[in-house]
This record gives sequence, C-alpha cells and structure tokens, in this order.
Amino acid sequence: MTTEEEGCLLVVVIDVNPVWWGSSPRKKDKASLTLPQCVDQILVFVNAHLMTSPQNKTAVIGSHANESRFLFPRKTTSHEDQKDVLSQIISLDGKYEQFTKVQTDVMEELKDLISSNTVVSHTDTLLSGSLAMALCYIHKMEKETGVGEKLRSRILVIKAAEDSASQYMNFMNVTFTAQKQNVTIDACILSKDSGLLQQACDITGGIYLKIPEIEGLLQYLLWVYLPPLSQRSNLILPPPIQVDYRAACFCHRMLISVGYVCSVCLSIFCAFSPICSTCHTAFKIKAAPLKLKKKKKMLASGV
Amino acid sequence: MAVSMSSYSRNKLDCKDLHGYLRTLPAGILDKLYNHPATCLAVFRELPQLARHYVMRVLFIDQPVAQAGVSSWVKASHQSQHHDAVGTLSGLRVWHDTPLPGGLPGWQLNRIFRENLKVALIGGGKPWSSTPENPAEGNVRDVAFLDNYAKERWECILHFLVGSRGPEALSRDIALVLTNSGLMKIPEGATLPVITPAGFQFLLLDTSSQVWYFMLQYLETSEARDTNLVNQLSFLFQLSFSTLGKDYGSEGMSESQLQFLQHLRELGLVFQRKRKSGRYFPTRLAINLASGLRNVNFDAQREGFIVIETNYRVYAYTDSDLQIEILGLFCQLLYRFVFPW
Repeated sequence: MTTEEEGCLLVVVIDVNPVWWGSSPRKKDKASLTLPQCVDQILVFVNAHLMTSPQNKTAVIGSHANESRFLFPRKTTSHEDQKDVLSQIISLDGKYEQFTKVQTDVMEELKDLISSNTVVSHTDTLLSGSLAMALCYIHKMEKETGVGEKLRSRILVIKAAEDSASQYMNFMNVTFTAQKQNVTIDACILSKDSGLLQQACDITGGIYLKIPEIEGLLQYLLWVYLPPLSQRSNLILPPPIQVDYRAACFCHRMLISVGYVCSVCLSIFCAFSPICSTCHTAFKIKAAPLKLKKKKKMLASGV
Repeated sequence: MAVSMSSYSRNKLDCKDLHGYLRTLPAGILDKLYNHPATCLAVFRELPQLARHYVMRVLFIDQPVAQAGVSSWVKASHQSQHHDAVGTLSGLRVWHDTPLPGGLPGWQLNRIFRENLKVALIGGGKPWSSTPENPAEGNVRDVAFLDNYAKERWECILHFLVGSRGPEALSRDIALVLTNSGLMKIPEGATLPVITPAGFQFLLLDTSSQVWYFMLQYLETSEARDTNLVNQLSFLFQLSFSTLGKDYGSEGMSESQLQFLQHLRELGLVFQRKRKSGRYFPTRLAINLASGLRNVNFDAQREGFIVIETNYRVYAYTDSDLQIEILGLFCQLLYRFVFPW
C-alpha cells in the first residue's frame, strides 16, 4: 500500500448572509454567482475532499445573520430508525451514494435555514459563532477517533459579507482556541478583504485568498484548498498577503492602529476614559492630559 | 514446530496493492475498466497524493495542459515526487501525451476516465445498480448480523485452508482458487489438498488483506476460465463503494455476474437470503475492499493470548476453533481445557 495517510476532517463554514447575497448591486452584475450556484461549487469541492481518501471526513456549517446551523451532518433525532437513514440514500444516477447524500442534505437544510429566517434583525454574519461550532465539532470528532487513528482538522471559511467589528473579541478568542487545538483556519474571500480572517489565517498557519474571479470559485477551491496540509509545503500556492493586524477598540468597535490600553485587563480604547469599562479600574491620573500622551501605545504587535 | 522460519522470508507472499495489480493489466482492459465510475473512484484513491492533486486540477479543464506548466505547480525541491506522480498517471493511462496547438508537449486526461470520475463526483449517467422494487420489507439485516455472517463465511475458507473441514465445506470453484494460487497443494498420492508455506503467510495477514489477496487470485483464476474480468472487477469496486446495511437489487445482471455474486456470497462478501431473492447486502469484507487494506479492523475484537516457553511448550488462550486448528498445524496438542467461566 502507499504510505500511511491520516484522515482529514474538513469543516466548511459557508457565509449565507441573505443581506449580502441579495444585495442589489450584486444582482445587476452578471458575472457574479447566485448563492445556489456558489453552494453547488462548494459541494463539488466538499465531495472532492471526501473522494480523495476514504478516511476523510467533512462537516458543513451555514453561517446566517440570525443563526449558525450544521448543514451536514444533519441533526438526527435519536429515535430515528436506522432503516430510515439508509432508505434516504437513494442513487438516481451514477454518482457515488455518499456524495449524493451530502448534496441532498446540505441543500435541504440550507433551504430550511433560509426559509425559517425570513426576517433579519441585524446584518452581520454570525461568523465567530459558526467557527466556535466548528471547533466544538472538531473536538468531538477527535475524541471519537479510535486508538492509533489520527485526524488532522482544518476549517475553511467561505466568506461573502463584510467583517463585523463587533465580533472582534469573540473572533479572536476562537482564533486562539483554534491555534491551541492545532486546527488550521483557511479563508476564501468572495468580495472584500477581511482583516479578522487575515489575522486568523496568519495565526493558525492557514491560507488566506481573496478570489479575483468569483466564477472560477471551484477551480480555486480545488487548487488551493483541496491538497492536504502535509502536501502544502510542496506545492506552489498563492503568496501570503500583508496582514492587517489592527485591533478593534472596545468602546466603538472601530479598527484602530493607535489607541489606549488598560494596564490591568488590556482592553483597548480609541478615546481616553478615566475608568476602564471592562474591569472598572479607575486610573489614577493626577496631571493634565499632557502626561497622558505617554500612555499612548503602539498596537503594531496586535492585542 | 518443524517449519523453519527461514523458508518464509525467502519467498514472501506477494500481496499486490490495487495499483500494482492494475499495472499488470493490458492497456485495453484498463480502458474498459474506466467505463465504470466506481473503478475510476477506486483508481483515483490509489494514486499518489500529488497525482490526485493533478487529476483534480485538470478534471474540469477540457484542453490539454502544458507539461512545463504542470511541473511548475510543484516546488523545485520536490521534483522527484512530481516525476513519480507523472509516471504513475501515464502508467495507468489516466492521462497521456498530447502536443498543444503550439507544438509544446502537453498532458491530456483520458477521456473515459475523466467522464466517469466526473459522473462519480457530480452525477449524471446511469445508476450503479437497480434499487429493489419493494425495499426493506421486514427482512432487513442489521450491521451486527452482517458482520457475523461475513466472519463465519470467511473463517470457513480459513478452516478449509488449515484442513479442519472436509472437502465438502467449500464449493469446487473456491477450492480451485486455493490450489491454483499456491496457497494449497495436493501432495502426490493424496486426494485432499494441504496448506503450503505461502498459505501460512496468507493466514498471518489481517482479514482485509486476505480478502484482497484472495480476490486477486480469484480473478486470475477466472481469467484463465475466460469469463469477463472487466465485469467482475467493476462489480467488486461497485461493492466496495456501497453502504453497509443497505440492500441492492441484482436485477439486470448477466449470467456470469450472477455466478460471480454467488461466489461472493460463499466468501461472505455479500449476504443473500436466498439465491433467487433478487437483492443482496454487501458486508464489511466487501466495503472499502479496494482501499481497505489499511482501515478495516475486523479482527480488533478478537482476543487471545499465547505464551511460548523456551522448552518449546506453547500455551494458548483462545475460544476460536480456527486459532486452535492453526496452532495444531505446527504444535502437538496435548491438553485442552475449558476455561472456568
């Protein structure tokens, strides 16, 4: 047999934010993909991942503005008969049954996700929540692997809508957890660059790529994100980008490069305040704001 | 223990992997094999990692790609891997040399392979097998039952191999495979076959390797019998990609395929309630067969201990008749005790 290969668990987080996918300038642009077309391409990629090795596993998470949900594997009620699960696997054409199952499951769950969330309360994608779900799932799967088996895990984020600075804290926490758990986060950006994901990819050693042409999504996915982690060092892949390491302030959630940092809890503020809003430390400042300038710190090295 | 260990190491049992086996097939048969999506899937999974990457990158590109371009996908320090991958792909006729319009050398994916791999991945084409008309009416077999059945059937073969069952335990065809493959031979003047050194090595393999080795031998024997190798191999791959615990219909299968199905049934690779029941359940032995040399832990739950003293006494703790028989081949059985619980 060929060399021992370890399985790879790939969790794909798809941004299905209805505000972005349905936005009017996108509709006029003929070159852009609709959400179903995009999901189709992603599913081919997911199945290609499963096709590569029998040990490979996958999960797909839909990240909506209202909730995050597993699109695959689907939630099964514990009482559901095994018979029912098996009878769901029906092949109508020459496709491998397991691939058909992934496809139908994701499509049905996605339809349900979108149709049950017709009213959107806020416009941001709940990306950090989805990533946290992905990490929990990875943790569970790693615990379930048998003795002697290894599972390398990675997360691929397919991001459409813009960053939301309000999720900065949660997002960074998720990123550092991923780093600690040895999970690589890759990001595939469909529209605007995302500072948060740039940092996440850089910290966890993943690949960040903003796709120049969205119609070629599948080809990019197959090229950059399909090869297993062990293979990446041998291939010529897009060069790493300059990472935007600005942090978001805790008071207005704005990205800043220079700001104030609480000396006790390291919270970041864009404007000076005598009491830290996070840990309620009162700063003893006797002199006029002239001395304050010394408190100013460069945040070039991040948080 | 009369058998000396040195005779084992000299002629090691040549258990080829799928790739090694396919390389021995003539080009015409390879092309025909690629006519089934399951074969393409199995072949694809057996390719070296880099080769799989190449196939995926060109799968959706219809024109040939420049050879110089392909080699620039890999860092210069890993060109040896690149040559391996290219060699494998050409060797298996997955892609072939085609000049580009400008006259530069290029690679073009085998058309049949591309179409069928695409079918396996994104759909289209015909279903692999017919779905039974009245699915699951009462006699659904659960996974535990199938596992048990497969184990029982396969142990039957091993029992035959170690000579603990009479010649009527197996059908003539299967017994013929064992003798033709050199796992057993009929000594001069005797009527019953006995195990050979190769057969011993066979016993030491894990179950999934045994099944794979045996199936290769079976196909070679059947090749001599001049039945349709391509059909049987495709069917085997199709089984290998089926779902455990699900039943499949055998309608529309040709006479020789049905015959093959009966042999698989005897080996425990598929379960059929009755010969004419029109549907079959693949068992764990068949599933992932093509890629399964490394990941089916069928024997994991089988427990046993063995102690060998320097005075050549052997103590074995086991409840498996088969293991006792195997020990009996090179030990003299003096006592056998029932365990107190």
